[in-house]
Amino acid sequence: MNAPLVDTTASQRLAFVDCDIHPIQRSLADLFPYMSARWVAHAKSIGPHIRQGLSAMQAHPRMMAAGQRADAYPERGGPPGSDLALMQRQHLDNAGVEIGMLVSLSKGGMEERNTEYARVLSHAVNDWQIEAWVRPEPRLRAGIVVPQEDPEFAAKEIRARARAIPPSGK
Amino acid sequence: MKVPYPGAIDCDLHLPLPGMAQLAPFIDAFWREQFLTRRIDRMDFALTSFPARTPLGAREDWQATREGETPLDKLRREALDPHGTRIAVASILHGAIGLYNDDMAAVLCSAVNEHMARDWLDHEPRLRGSILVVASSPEHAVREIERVAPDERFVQALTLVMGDTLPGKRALWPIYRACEKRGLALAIHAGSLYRQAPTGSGWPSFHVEDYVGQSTAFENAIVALLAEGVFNEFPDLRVVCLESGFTWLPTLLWRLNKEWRGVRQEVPWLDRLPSEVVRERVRLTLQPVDAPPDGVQLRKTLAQIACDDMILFSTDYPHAQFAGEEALPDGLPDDLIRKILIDNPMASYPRLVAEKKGGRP
Repeated sequence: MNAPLVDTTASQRLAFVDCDIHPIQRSLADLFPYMSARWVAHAKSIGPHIRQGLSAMQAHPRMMAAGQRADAYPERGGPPGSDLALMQRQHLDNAGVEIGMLVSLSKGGMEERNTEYARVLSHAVNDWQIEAWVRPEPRLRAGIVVPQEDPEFAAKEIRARARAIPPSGK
Repeated sequence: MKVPYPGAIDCDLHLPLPGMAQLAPFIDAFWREQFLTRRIDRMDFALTSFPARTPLGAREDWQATREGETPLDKLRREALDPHGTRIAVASILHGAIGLYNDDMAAVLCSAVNEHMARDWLDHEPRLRGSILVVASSPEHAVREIERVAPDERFVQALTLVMGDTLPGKRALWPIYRACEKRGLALAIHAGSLYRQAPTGSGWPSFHVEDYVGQSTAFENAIVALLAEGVFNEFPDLRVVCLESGFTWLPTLLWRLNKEWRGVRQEVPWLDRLPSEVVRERVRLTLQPVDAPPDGVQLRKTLAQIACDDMILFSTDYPHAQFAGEEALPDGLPDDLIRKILIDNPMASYPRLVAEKKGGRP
C-alpha cells in the first residue's frame, strides 16, 4: 500500500534500456567514407531509385515538426537524430539511458530498387553506426540494417556483423 | 541541326522547382502554418521520375549560373534565345502532385501555378504556362483549371502519364471536360507517381528501365483514351504527349487498327480506324528524339507515321537531349521542319489558334 515506486534505499537499481533510438545521417555524405568511389559517384549523380513518387520526402508528410520532437533539431543543422552530443545531453543523460539500441531507418538500402546500391548502402550504414555512434558512445548498440528482399546478402551481412560486434558493445 | 530560322514554338520547357519561400506568398495562412509547423517547408519536392543530378536530368553546361544573372536571364540565354524561340510552353514538375493529401496537393499546385504566372509569365512574354493539376482528385483539378483558365497565357493542363488511374478512365472525365470547355490542351507528361509499379509485371531495378518504359505507358494512355471514348465525348479536346518519343507510333497504330477490327463490337463508339483519330487528336513533342541519328531511317519512320501534323518542336530544357544548340535531329525535310517548329504547335493548342486569329479562345 502506497509503497514508493522506486526504493531509494536499495543498493541495486533497474537498468534502463531504450530499445528504439533513431540515428540519422546529417546528409548522405556522412556515408561516403564507407562507400567505394564508384558508389559515391553513383550516389552523387544517379542517386536513390525507390518505389514512391517523391524521392526525398514522405508522400504523407508527418504532423508537428515532421513527427520529430521540435526541440530535437540540432543547432548546427541537420535532422533530429543526427547530432550525437545533442542525443547524449537531451536523451541518454537526461533520461538515464544505460543502453540505447540504434534503429537506423534512413538510407539503409531497405527501399532501394538497385540491388547493388542497396547492398552498398546497407553495409555503409552498418559501418557508420559503429564508427559515428557506438565507438564514441559506449552506451549505444548498433542494429544491423539489411535490404530484406535480398536474403543472400542480408544473411551474409548479419553473419559478418554478428561476429564483428563484441556482445558487450564495448 | 540548329533551328534554321526564328519563330519556333517550344512545346516542352521546364522551369526550376520553386522553394517554399517562393510559393509562400501564394499560400493562405492556414496552410502556411501547416507547412511551417510540420517542417514541410524544408522538404525537397522532387519527383522520383525526374532525378535532378543524373547526366540526363541536367546538362553539364547548364549547371552554372553566371554572376548577377537571374533565373529568367539564364532561361533566356540557355533556352529561348539560342533557338530564336517565339513561344515556349513552360511547365514546373513539382512534387505537389505526388502527395496523398489531396487538399495539401491542391494548395501547393495552386501556389506553383501562381508562381508561374507572377514570377515567370509576367516577366517574359514568350512564355506560356501549364496548369499543374492533382489528377488523383478530379474535383480539385477542375477547380484549379477553372481558377486559372481566365489567364489566357496558360495553354494546357498537365498530368503525368502514370498516375493513380489510367488516362481515359471516366473518373478523370471532369478534367477533360474542363480542358475542352476552356480551350486548354490536355498535356500528358512522361513520369510516374509510382502509385503502381511502372511496368505490368512489377518493379524494375534501374532508371534505364523506367525511362524506356515511358513509351509503353504512353501507348497504354492513348489506347485507353480511345477505348474509353474520350475523343467521342470531348470532340474538341487535344492531347499533347510530352517527352513521349514518337518512333513507337507506327507499330502502335498498326496493332491498334488490327485489334480494333477484331473486337470493335466491344467499343462501338470507335466507329472508324483508331489510327485516324490518333492522327487528328494526339500530338507528341520532339525531344527526346527516340530515333537513330541516321536521317534516312528517321524519314522512314516519319513516313510510317504518315501524318505531318503530329510532331511539335520541343527542347525539353534543361534535360540533356542534344548537344550545343542542335535541337533538331538531322534528316528532316524542310517543309516538315517548318511544320514541327511553327505550324503544328500553332494548330494544336486551341489557345494558340485563338491567339493567331486575334480572338479570345
